[in-house]
Amino acid sequence: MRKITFLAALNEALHEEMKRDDRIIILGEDISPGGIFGVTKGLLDKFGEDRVIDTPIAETAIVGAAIGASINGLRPIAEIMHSDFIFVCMDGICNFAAKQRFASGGTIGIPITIRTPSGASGYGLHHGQSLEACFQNIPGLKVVMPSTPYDAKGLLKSSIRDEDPVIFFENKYSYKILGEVPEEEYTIPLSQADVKRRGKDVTIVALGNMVRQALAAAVDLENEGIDSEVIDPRTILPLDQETIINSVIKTHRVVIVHEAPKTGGAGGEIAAVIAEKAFHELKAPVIRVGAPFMPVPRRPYEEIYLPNKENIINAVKKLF
Amino acid sequence: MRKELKVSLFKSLLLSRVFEEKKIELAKEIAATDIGPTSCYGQEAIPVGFCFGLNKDDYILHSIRSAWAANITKGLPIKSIAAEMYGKSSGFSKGRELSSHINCIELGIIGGTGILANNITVAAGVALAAKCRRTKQVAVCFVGDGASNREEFFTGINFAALKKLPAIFVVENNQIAEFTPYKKFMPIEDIADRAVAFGIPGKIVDGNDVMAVYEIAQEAILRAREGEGPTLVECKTLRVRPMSEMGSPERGLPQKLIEEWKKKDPVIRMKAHLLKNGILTDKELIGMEEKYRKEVDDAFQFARESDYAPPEDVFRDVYAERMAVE
Repeated sequence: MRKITFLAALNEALHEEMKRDDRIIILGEDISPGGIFGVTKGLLDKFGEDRVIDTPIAETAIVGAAIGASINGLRPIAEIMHSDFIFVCMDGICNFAAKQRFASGGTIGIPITIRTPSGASGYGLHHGQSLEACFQNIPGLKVVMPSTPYDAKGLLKSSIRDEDPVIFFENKYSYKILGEVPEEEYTIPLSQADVKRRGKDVTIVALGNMVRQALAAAVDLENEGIDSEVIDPRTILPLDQETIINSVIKTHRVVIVHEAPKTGGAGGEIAAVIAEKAFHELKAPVIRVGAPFMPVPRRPYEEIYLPNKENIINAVKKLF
Repeated sequence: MRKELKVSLFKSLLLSRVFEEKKIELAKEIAATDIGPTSCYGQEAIPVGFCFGLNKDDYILHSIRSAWAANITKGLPIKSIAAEMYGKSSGFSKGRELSSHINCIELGIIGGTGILANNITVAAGVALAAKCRRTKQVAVCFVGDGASNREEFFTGINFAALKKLPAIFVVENNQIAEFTPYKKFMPIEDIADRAVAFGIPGKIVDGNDVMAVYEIAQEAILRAREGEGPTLVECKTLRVRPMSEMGSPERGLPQKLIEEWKKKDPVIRMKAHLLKNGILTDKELIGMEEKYRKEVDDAFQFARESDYAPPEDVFRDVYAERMAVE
C-alpha cells in the first residue's frame, strides 16, 4: 500500500470532501496559498474564491461566520491557525455552536468542523498547547485527535460529514509522519477507539503524538517481558469507553499518556471512567503521564518537557 | 408611501405593542419561567420597520430587547412565542430557551445566546452562505448600544464589509445598557460613525418613526440584495421601561428624559398620522386594538394550557444522534 504523510492525508481528505459536496467551504487565515503548514494546498485553484476564503485575523469572525453559514445551508470548515488561538473564539464554539441544537429544540444543528494545528511546534507558549481538555466538559461538542495518516484522513472526512460541531486537532509534529493510506475512499467513524497494538499485561491509552511514544515504549517493554496493549481513543469526546474498559478487564493495569499537562488533562476523565467502571479489575492504580504543569517551553527546552517513551516505561513499571 | 403599506406597518406595530403591554401586565407570572421579562415597549418601530416585508427565507438575528416584536413581524405565531415564555413544549424551540432567544428555522429566525452581539458574526456567516449559494437572501442583525462595544461588532462587521456580504446591521440605541447610561460606556455619541472604520455606509434614523425606519431599512436591504454589501443603521430611541419588568425603574434613565421620549412614542405618532390623513378612523383603530388584545389573550391562555416537555424530552437534542456519552 502507498505511504503518504499525515499532512498529505489531510489535504486529500479536504480535496475529496470538497469535490463530493459543493456545500463545503473552508475559511481561515492564510489558507488560500495553502495555509502555514500546507494542509489547504491546492484548494483555491480547484474550488475557487467562493469556497476557499481567507479571513482577517479574527477568530471570532471565523467561527461566527462558520456557524452562520452552516445554518444557511453550507458545510463550513473553519481553520484556527494554532490551537492556542482557540481561546479567542471559545464563546462562539462553546456558547453558540455547542448549544444551538439543544436551544432550538433540535431544529437547528451546527455542522461545522474546526480544524486546528495543535500541540508542540518548537515555538513555545502560545504556539504549542494541546487543548483537548478544555472542550471535554462542553456538551454538544465533539473532539477528535488522530495519530496516523490513515486515521487523519478517515476521521477528517467523518468530522466534516458529522452533523455536530467537531474540533479536529492536528498534531503539528505528526504532519511529516508517513503511513499507509489506501487510494480508495474510506471513512472512520467518530467515537470509535483503535487498538494500535494488542497485548495482555498493561493497557496504555495514548492521545495524538503520544501514540508513537507508547508504541516505542511497548517495543522496549516487550524486551523486559511486559506485553503492552496500546489504545488510541481517536475521538476524545464522546469517548469510546467500551474499548478502553474491555482492555482494562484483560490487562488489569493502565497508564494514560498525553502531551497536554498531566494535571487537569484529558487523562483524568479517562482515569475516572476506568475507576468507576472497572475498579475491581485493577491490580494497581491508574497512572497518568503528561507534561509538567507549566507553559509549553520553546526550543530547545521542549525536549525535556514533552512526555516520551521513557516516561511511559517508568510509569508502566510502577504498576508491577 | 402607499396607504395600504402604512396600514400594514401599523398593524405589525400595534400587535407588537399589545403584546408588550400584556407582557408587562403578566410580568410576575412570566418571570416564574422566563426570568424577568424584558420589554421593547416604546421601541417597537425598529424591529417592525426592519422585519416588515422580509421574505420567508431572509434571516433575522434579533436582539434580546426587541426579540418579540421582530419575531411577530417576521411571522412567528404569538401562541408559539407565549409558549416559549412559559417553557412549554408547544413552542417552536420546545420551550428550551428564554423567549428573548427564540429560534425558528422555518422563518429564518436565529436566536442569540446570552452573549450579546455574538449574532453579528453569525449574521455575517448567514450572509456569506447567501452569497456563496447565490440566493437573494439577506441577514438582518439587531444589537443594542451596549452590545455594539463587544468584540464581534468589530470583527463581524469588518468581515461582512470586506466580503460585501448581504447583511444589515441595526443598532437599537436606546441610550442605556442594563443599568448603565451610554455616556458611561461609550466614548462616542453616534454609533453610526463606526461605519467609517469598515468602509460601509452608516445611517442614523429616528427609531420611533416606523415609516422612516421602514424606508431606511428597505434601502439597506436593497443594497444588500444587489450585492453592494452591508449597511450599519443606528436607530435612535430611548428605553422608557426598566431593564426588566421585574426590575426597578430607579436604575433606568431619568424620569424627565423618559417623559420627553414618551411624547415621541411610535404607536401614538403613527396613529396620529393615520387619523390625520384619513387613512383609518378612530372606530377602525379601536376595533383593531380589540382584535389584537383578544389574540394576545388567547395566545397566553394557550401557553398556560400547554404541556411542559415530558422528562424524557428534557435531555434530548444535545447531539444529532441520541447517544449515551456517559
